[in-house]
Amino acid sequence: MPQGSRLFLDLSLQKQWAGSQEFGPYALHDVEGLLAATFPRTRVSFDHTAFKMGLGVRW
Amino acid sequence: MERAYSEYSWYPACSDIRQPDGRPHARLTIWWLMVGLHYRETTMHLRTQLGWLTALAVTVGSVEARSQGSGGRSREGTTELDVAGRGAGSIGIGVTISRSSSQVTTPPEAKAPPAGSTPARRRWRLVLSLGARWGGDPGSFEQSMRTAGLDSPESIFGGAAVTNPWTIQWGTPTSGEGTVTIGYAIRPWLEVRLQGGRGGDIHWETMGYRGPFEFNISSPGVSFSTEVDIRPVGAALVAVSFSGLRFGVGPSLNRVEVRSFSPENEFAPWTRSRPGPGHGTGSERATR
Repeated sequence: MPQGSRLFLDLSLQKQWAGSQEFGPYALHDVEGLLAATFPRTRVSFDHTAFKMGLGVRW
Repeated sequence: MERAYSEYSWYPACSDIRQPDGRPHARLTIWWLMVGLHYRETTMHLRTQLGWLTALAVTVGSVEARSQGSGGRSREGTTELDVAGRGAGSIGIGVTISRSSSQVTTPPEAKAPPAGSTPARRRWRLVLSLGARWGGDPGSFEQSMRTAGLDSPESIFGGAAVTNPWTIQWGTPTSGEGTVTIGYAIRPWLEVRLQGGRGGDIHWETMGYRGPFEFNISSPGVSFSTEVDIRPVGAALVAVSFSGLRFGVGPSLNRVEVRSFSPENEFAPWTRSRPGPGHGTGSERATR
């Protein structure tokens, strides 16, 4: 990290392990109220990645 | 019953760089105009699961470059001006050009620090960043819909067949975001960073259908759709610098919203999808 510059360009690649969550099951009914389908219990991951570029200042 | 929601926000950010005598080197003002999503949601027969997830944010690679070009150099409040500088310091050159308009003159002897002195360490950092974010797991919902039999092809308004389930991601798989980072260097090689920002949502909607190919009133099918929105809120990082690269790790906070819809058809009243045993567990909670 250069110490002498007050302004700098910052590039970063960031991975976020946000974990996962389960949803369901959901019972789906048709217009007559009869069970038409059952959406099963589902685990969804929310992990994501970000790339950022920015201008920074030190003081 | 419908509820409309809109968001229009201005986020000003101003960085004023001054010399030791108080005169400005340059002034950088950035205005972000963030016009949020304007959407309507039907509150009848709609279920929303909203939760906050903590996450482990890891900066797997962070490169910091000097802003000055080959001809511009900044040292302890004094600036050598050379507008012909090029290269990676294009941003720094722009600031330097702004400084030239202020006609600030610095005696040559003041440009170099006195012999034997060391530059004062600048411990605080402020970074304004723009970027893109991608991820999520739409495939898991599609797989569950196939398991539930919500994979019937259908024709909408007599058009071409639609293959179910299918997922749309609003815009592109990536999403723009703006981040403000405040850092403090405990040591030259050790820095603590706090990140926060707006935008950067990851959003997708998955839809499934089970029923006849031609949708009609006498034999309606059942459709089901899920919407997921992941919104990063903030992160705290401890970063270690090594040869210009910075590696950081720390917790972060994400807001996750999952909605599910289950209308039988557009002519009949909407039906609430009934929660199963998994509802309300963990960090999710029902808002309706």
